[in-house]
Amino acid sequence: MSDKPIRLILQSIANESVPPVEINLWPRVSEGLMTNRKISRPRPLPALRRRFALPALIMFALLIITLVVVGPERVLAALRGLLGYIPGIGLVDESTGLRILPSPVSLEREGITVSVLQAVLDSERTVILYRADGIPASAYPARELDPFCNLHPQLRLQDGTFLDITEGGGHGWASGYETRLVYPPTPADTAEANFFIPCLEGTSPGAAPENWELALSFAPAPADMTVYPVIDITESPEITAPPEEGEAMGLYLERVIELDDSFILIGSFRQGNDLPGAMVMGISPWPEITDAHGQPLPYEIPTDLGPPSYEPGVFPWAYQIPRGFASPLTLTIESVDVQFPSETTFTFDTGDHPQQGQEWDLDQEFQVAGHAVHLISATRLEKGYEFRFTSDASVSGVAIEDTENIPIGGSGGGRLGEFSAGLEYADPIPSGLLSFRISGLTARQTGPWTLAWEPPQSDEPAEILVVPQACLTLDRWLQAVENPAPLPQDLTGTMIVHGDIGQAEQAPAPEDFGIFALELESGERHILGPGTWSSLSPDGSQAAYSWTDGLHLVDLASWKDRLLPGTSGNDYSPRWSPDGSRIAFVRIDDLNLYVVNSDGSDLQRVTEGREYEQLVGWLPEGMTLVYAIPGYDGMELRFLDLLTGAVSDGFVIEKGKGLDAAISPDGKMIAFIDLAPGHMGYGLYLAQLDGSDRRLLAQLDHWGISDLHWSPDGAWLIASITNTDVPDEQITPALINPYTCEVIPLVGVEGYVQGWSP
Amino acid sequence: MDETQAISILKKGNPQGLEQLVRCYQVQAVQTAYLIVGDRTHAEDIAQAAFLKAAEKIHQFDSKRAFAPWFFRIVINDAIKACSRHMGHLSISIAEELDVSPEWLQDPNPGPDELLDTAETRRVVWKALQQLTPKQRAAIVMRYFLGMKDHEISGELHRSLSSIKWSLHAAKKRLRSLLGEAIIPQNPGSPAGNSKHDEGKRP
Repeated sequence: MSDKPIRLILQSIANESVPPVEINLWPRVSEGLMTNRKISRPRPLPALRRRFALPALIMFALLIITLVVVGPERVLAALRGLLGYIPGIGLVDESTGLRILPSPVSLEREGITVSVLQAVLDSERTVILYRADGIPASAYPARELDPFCNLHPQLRLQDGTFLDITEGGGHGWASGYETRLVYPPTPADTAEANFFIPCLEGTSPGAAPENWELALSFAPAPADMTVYPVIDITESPEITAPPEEGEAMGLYLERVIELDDSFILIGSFRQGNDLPGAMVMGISPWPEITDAHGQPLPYEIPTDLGPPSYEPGVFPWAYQIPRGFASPLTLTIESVDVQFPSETTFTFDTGDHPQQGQEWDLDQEFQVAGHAVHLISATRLEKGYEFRFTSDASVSGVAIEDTENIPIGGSGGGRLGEFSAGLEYADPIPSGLLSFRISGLTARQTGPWTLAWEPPQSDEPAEILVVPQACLTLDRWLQAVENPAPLPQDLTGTMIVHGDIGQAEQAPAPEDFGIFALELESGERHILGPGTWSSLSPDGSQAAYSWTDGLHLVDLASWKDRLLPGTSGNDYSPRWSPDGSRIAFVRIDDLNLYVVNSDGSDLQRVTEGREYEQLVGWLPEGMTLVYAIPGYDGMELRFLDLLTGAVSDGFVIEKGKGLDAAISPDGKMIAFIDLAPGHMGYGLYLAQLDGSDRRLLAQLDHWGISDLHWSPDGAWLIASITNTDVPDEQITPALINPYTCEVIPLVGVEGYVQGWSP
Repeated sequence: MDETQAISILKKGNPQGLEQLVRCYQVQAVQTAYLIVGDRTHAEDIAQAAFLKAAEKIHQFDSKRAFAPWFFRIVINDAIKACSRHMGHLSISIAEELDVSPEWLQDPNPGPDELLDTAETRRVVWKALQQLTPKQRAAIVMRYFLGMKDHEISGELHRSLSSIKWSLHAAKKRLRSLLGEAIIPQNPGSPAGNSKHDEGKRP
């Protein structure tokens, strides 16, 4: 059955029963955001299954839930009265006394333990910190579309009433999760409650024990309980009100919390009245916090502080900085994205029978919000039209509207100064003389905006904060790209790359991505075909990759491709043994590691358990597999002796975003990606295999760095550098000398290098 | 504001990003839900809730990936759950529902390649859709209505690529047999009836 007729019929049915012109959901969605009147379905907790989501983004999820449930006015009212801070719990109001759960309460069923670790009750809120652990992998749905638990726990009071969450957030790992839940205040005369968990977050219905009830008894907080004061450093209690007349755009500090080992600064970026009619849409990139010497300081975003407010043009922030820096510190925002309104219109005549792929040179020039915008061309897409624009280097895009026809969707992208915008329509796609309006223009406005803060004089740190500095920085990388050094003469072998295998000079579609082998000496490229998770045999004679029917092996001399017997479409991440005789891989049917001979014989499962093992590779002796499992603190490295089955623990890659690691060919070093101190991004580290001598090799601010592999002789590391400043993120592999920090971009190799053999 | 910018500002806490996404995807979202649940009011509720859920979960969205497959998974999932709640099928596994068999991967994809878009065809297709299980309907809607690729359907980790293929083949197979039952006796001379692939396959 081809797609087209069924698609057309389904589209006709949909258009007939749900005419596009009758759909206008925004008022309802908007109302749902603010009042929750229309939403009767239970809301899932955010972030529970996301292991390493950025705290800032969690804060946004908290904001949404907060606004949905209690509304912005109550949030403001509540926060004005909060005077103290308890790490892990958040802001508390001590004015009427605090109550707590004196000791944790746990319940175990079928090997799964659920614990309420902490509870703090004040006049404004009830905060519960709870954890579930020991959940088997089999309890989670194996398929994306299978149902899963998204019901949140309730606090059931003695009088039969129950409280529902107003905020929630946390993190998860392979066998469990921990989350902080905020409920409305528990009445002062209620000393006991049941914490009722209808089902464990994310598990399949019936796959794990359900309807948990933990009896909680609350008691007054002891007098010596540590509650850190929240210092309001603003003079006006109306600090969360809209900007005053004449307020300047910039950073505002509003509160400070002094902890034993760090400071939390709370404030906002305010648009003020500098941009009448325009709207700041976001801060980009992440702020930088530096000490008195200009050195970047590490900081984190506390996840237990609900955002203080949401107002148009006001972006609240909270950053936690370790003590011990050379003061004053300076918080700097380099630029913001601003959207300017526009009423610029243009017309475009498609003719009577426009064809898909047809292109029209339009060559029209407009002045939009003070920027010259050049409309280059229009292209007929399958469902609509796309327009290509250029402008000055500060403009990242324009929004367009059809003034006569109602589109069903839009598209766009590009980079600063060069971008596109398109509209898609339900059939029939309009043709003839069409009219459009450029309704907005987004431009990057550069600051910088800075805020200096000096801690109290009494802050005399016992230890001076030492922040590791990377030898490869974004500036160095940009210089290397600008003036690329020649490739080393002795660079030989074959790389295997996952990238665009479509036709040259055409924008790649998702299906155009696949695997190709690149011979370094000749520069010759051989396309292996669609596939993912490729790797090369140590002698470079074969490649392995994952595809929908199993693992495939390709002979790189004859280019013959064969399915590895015994493997299936759920097998990933093949890794060749050092002698090339065996292949280890991950089978996600049961989330375990397997080893099979390269002829398909002797398939063995070599791990078992609840964790989701992720493969790093083999040690050079050929009998030890290195892998990692997601644990509470991050990715926990493990060493598996295939002869004895013994497993020994390695170090923990803390806060790693998944696992990205590579062992050097001599087995002595490991390169890995981990959170970089002082940046809201990741860095490339080098360490001994036991985690010692850890060294930050590369940190490229907010740009991405991933897909680590060693050259066959161990002299080079190769990593993929992703430019995240442009909407269509650009990937450039980089050769990095781990000893000298020399870097050479492999310009022209568009894709992720996934292996390198002699 | 384009989609990338909308997601970017939504991630930074600005509901204008959500507004833009609603305007881009509301029609497809309601229509998608409608094709699965079969009720417009219910479909609008599902789409509305899906946008709110997307806003709640936007921090989980990897900006390197396309937004549409991620968002429509929410719509589809909620639509299936809505059907399942109605039918009491929540705990039935996809394998049980579809009687998964790898042989369908070998299916030479016979079918009514040249169905005409007539009112009668729409009625018959709609009726046939209603006879599929919610998950089968979802597979058809994702593949043919949303035009999603198998790998897009299968999710970020490619976990269910094969199962998606199986679901799709199972749904196609059942839809084909239903369409065959419904259309072919009434239209013996139709192109579908003349399809060489269909020879010997009709009931």
